[in-house]
Amino acid sequence: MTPEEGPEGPAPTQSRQLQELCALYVLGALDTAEATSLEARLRAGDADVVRAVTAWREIVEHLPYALQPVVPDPAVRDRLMRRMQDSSPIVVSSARWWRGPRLRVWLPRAAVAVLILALSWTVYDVRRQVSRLEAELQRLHSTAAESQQVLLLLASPQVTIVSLTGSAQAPQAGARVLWDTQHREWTVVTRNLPPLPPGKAYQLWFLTPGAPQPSRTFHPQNGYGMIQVPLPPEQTRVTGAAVSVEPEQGVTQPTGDIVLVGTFSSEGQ
Amino acid sequence: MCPQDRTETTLIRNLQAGDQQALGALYDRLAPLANAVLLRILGNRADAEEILEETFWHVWRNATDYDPTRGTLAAWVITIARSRALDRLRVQKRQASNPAAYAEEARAALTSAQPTPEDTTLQNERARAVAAALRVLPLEQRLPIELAYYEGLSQSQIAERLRQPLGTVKTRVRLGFIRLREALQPYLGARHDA
Repeated sequence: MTPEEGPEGPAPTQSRQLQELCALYVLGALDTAEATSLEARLRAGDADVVRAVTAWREIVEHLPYALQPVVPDPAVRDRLMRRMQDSSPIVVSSARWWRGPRLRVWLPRAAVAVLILALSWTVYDVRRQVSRLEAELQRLHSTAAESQQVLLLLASPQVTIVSLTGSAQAPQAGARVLWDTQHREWTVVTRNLPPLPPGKAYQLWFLTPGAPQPSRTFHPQNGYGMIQVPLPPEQTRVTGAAVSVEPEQGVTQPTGDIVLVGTFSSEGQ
Repeated sequence: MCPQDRTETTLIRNLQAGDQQALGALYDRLAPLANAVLLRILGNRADAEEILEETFWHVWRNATDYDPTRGTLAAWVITIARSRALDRLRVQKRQASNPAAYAEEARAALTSAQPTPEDTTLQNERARAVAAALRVLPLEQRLPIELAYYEGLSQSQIAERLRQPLGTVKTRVRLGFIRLREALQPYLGARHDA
């Protein structure tokens, strides 16, 4: 090969110009416009350009070997290693991401964090369920106590049972009054009472020959409820009972719809 | 695949996997050569070592950017170092502001340079071959190549510096490359590690 030949053999004028362009390109000495143009040809895969650039690049890569290596101050290496150990952030290849130092450090931490979160959630959930079960248990205890009380009343010879029937406003509703004559106390058990409007409650009334005597208000659950109330003073003759829809705090005279009503033939019947 | 290729492949694989020892090994192999290039460009030991550290830090952080089809690992590292040094040089404009001091500092830095004990026979042979090739290169061919490589001058700046027509500079660079290729023929066409 003669000195005039480029990487691809004999060099006509056009080829010589390309060799010169590529030689200056690998040295980084081309002006911007020429470099841009040559890079476009490289990207397009121009075989002549690729061949020339590859060949000349290999020459340039050898230039440093003409220099005598110079061992740097050991402090540089120390600084580099310390810096690396302090941060250890490295962009690892996607194929080996799981082997990177960052992952080796963070994966166990992430696992512990997930475990803690999972345990926290489990503890929270268990506590929530325990609270719900406690409330349910309390409700069942209450229901059981009420049922027990009703059973005792039913078995008692001093208790008389009278019925209240639903009015036109609550035809499906009904109630039983367990009248404890000995203790002068009523236990009223209701069923199928309609849901109450907001701010309203059901109120029990003692029907007497005069005006109805107010008793307490109550809120049945799902139409069912049980209340215990003392009877009015002995001199008051109770002839029946009624339940009406009234304001929450109760009233002294019925103002709302009567939903249950019943009359007795005689007191303590 | 030659043993050196295997060594380089293993090194880059470990480096990309985040092996800190691999960076240490790479540094030990390439830092003396990279440092020599940096000293030649910057002419100042402190600046050279600062850029050297930054170069290997960049290699550590961006190991996956290395593409073996585009050159050796050594070439990649030296390219990063050279590019950063030339950037620094352009900012400092040291030669323009005080060329005499620069030349003196560069000479002092290179004179005090000690060869690394880890040089292999192949490295020495190659270094000798490259040095000899450059030495026998006619000055008018060597100068434009060195001005481009070590000072980062563009072809127009080289022409201006050497007071030669641009076409002459281009031709001399090409001829210089051809002569270098002939002299380095035994070392070309195969991968060579540092």
